[in-house]
Amino acid sequence: MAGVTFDNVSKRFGETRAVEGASLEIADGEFFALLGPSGCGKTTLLRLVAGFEIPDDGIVKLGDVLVGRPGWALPPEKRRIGMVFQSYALWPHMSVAENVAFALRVRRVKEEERVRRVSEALEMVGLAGMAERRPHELSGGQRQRVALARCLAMRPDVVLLDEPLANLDVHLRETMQMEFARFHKELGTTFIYVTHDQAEALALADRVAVMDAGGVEQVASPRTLYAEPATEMVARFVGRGIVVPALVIGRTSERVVVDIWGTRLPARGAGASGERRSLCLRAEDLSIATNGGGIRGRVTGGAYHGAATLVTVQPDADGAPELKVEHAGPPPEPGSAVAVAARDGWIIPRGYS
Amino acid sequence: MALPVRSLFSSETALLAVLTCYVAALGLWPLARLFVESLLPGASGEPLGLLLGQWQSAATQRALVNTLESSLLATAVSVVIGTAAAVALTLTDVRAKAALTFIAMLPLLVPSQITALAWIELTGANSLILGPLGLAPAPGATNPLYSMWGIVLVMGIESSTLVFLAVRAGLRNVPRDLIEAARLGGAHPLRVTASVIVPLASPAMLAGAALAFVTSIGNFGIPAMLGIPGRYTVLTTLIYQRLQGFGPRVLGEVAALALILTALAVIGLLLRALAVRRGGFATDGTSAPLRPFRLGRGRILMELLLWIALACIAILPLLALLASSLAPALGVPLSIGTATLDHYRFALFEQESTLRAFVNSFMLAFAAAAVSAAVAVPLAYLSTMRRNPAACALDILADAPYAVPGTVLAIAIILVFLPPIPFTDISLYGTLGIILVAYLARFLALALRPTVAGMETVSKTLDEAAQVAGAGVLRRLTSVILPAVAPSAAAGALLIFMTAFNELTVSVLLWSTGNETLGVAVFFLHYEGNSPAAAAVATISIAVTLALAFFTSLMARNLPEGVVPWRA
Repeated sequence: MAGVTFDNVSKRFGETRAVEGASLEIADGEFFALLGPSGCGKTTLLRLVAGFEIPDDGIVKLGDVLVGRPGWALPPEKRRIGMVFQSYALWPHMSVAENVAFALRVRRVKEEERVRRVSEALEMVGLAGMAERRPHELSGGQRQRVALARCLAMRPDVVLLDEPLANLDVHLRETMQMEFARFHKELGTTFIYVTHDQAEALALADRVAVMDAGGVEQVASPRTLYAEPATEMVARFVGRGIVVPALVIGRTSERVVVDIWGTRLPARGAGASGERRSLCLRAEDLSIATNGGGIRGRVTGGAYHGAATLVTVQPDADGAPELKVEHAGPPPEPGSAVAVAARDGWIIPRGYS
Repeated sequence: MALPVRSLFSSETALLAVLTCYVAALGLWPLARLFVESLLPGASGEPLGLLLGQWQSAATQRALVNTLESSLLATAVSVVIGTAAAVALTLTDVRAKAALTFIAMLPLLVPSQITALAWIELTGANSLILGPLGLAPAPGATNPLYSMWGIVLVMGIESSTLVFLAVRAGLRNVPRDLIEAARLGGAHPLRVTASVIVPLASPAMLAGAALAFVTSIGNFGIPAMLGIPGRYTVLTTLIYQRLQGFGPRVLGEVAALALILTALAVIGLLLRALAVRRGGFATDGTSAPLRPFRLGRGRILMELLLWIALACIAILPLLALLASSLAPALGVPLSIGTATLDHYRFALFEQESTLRAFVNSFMLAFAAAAVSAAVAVPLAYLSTMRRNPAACALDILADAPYAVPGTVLAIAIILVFLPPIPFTDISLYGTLGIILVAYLARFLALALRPTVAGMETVSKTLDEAAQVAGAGVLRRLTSVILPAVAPSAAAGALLIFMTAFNELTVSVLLWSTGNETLGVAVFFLHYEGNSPAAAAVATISIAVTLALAFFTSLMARNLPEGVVPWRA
């Protein structure tokens, strides 16, 4: 068991800066997600933990042990790390049991114990009857479970999961998500989970690091990440928030009052009167105002989502971004003039658009 | 609107008919003739007499055993060398890989008879390389390579390139994830290589070995140069000696021998097909390509080992050849001061037949390359882009004359083209024409493979767009398809030129006075005892080949994958 520490780590591939000055403290036993668009450096960070990459700058520690510094890295085979690959990476010439037993054989675990640990791991993932199958005889979901069992049988200090659900269909994805959560709870091992899917990250992780362009934008619990995004990128990427320019005009006892395009709104966060700030608005906090007070605009479209319709409204103000409004009941006709009311907003602490 | 559609269909059909006639007349019909001929009754009329007669003869059995023995051992040598080189160059982080790969490829580019000649010069009593080191055999001693082991060594080195290419491709197909998963499991790179990489790449190695075997049994140049003086006869040299000694009246008998040789080749090719099919399972899942292991401090040692081994295998013999071509009179040590170009002058200006051979081979190679590329483009178009089933079958059948040993094809061609061409009284036998026919039949596959690979990268919609615009099949071929696949077809043509320019196996059975090829010239210069002149001619032809190979490699950068076989 071990936590993972990144201290100011950078990694370049030729001209590309994959990771730039990243610092993270992942606690022992934590379920930690690395979230970001493709190319943001999350997989490189994971490969730095595994030992497949050597940092150009900064240090990587597993627990208290230094495992990576500029020009040197402890080889992956000496790290006691398990990994579930996006491709599952099952060895096609070995049976399911042989796949799971490989790490134990390499570590010279005695046969009796090896057999026991293999069957334990297979039982845990619900594949007890499949030990003699070959990987190509299994479905995608079963392969995923074998990959997980292989990882669990070696009792790693840290488990890395690299987009493990990307190749599964939607229904299987939900089942496997629950399985991951269960394993984490039962084992208490540190899990580091890389994904570009914010729903996965928010549902599974204790804490999430949102990454963009090689840097860490914000590290926080899923709730904090959603309610109080630290940067505009996080606001847009997590929960598809809409970022609008706002002017702080005062405050009430618990809220800051801001002005957007001439409309006053109560918002959370910090800000002094007269400051120009960026405000994050969520679709579920917006509504089509019935009394006519709010941001004036025109309906440009609507997408029916079952429980509600996501209505898009283009505010009349110059250069304003399109707003998305969660609306129950029959939506207004496209082209009709409406007013949008907001009951909540978040003043983004850093940056101004 | 019915008319244009019908005319479009018929022009495609007409094109297919022309291509079918071409492939059938040059390659398939002769091979079928050979098959029938070899199954004819013997002189006393018993069924399958020819084949049984040959099968039961002691000379045939001796040659068959020798063929199998030398080819299997040579295959073992090639597997060891080819696999070791492929593993070292693919799995480790040694530097200067492009240069090392090119050296490992050299045996593929140098024709068999010249490889054999070079090794003879290297290991002979007069060796200008081993001599000064005191390693050459005593004066007067027989060259140690004039033996089964000599054939095994040289043939093994030559076909090691085929194993190298196959294993390298197999290793590159192992997904990186599988290797990384094993390392996270705690396995050291050596353990990963043994437990994961080698099992996954073994079908590729098997396929390469089968190909090396097929190439070895069909090899003529090496057993002829080393085995005839060493009195070690294999099937190809037995056929050559029979035909040389008795002329066309023993055609039936050699056809029977050729059938035995073909049967061996077919077995080898079936093994290869089996191995290739088994190899499919390794490549499921998408993953980044393999990344070489870091050797750390051992890297410099590995590099040293590779350079020394590859230099001994591929460069030293060629240096011996070059030295021999520049050698002054026997016994005078070679130096800058004593080196002479006399042998070059003799070969090129004093012996008319050698110069003629250069001209003949140049014309033959050029014609074979140009015509084959011109045939390959429409054939690849119909089979790959139009998915015409008949063209697909033709595409596969066109490989047959290249897959069988050259000796077999030459006999098949003699069988069909010895009698006058129907409705004329012209016989191609004894002219350059029969060699050209054989080259066209044999080398079409060499142009077809790259052209098909190039065609696969061209979107079908380009052709369909031209069709919608109203262009007929010939118009589409010239305006849309040709510009897209011309580089691939040209690469195929270059391959044919390089191969045909130095060809010996086929032409040694088909040449006649005045119609010598370069391969035949080198072979007979050496046979007549004028090794320095043979070395001079060989040096020039290698220089031409390597220049072309270099040019092709430059071109390869802009070509689709799989077009140039040795691309690094």
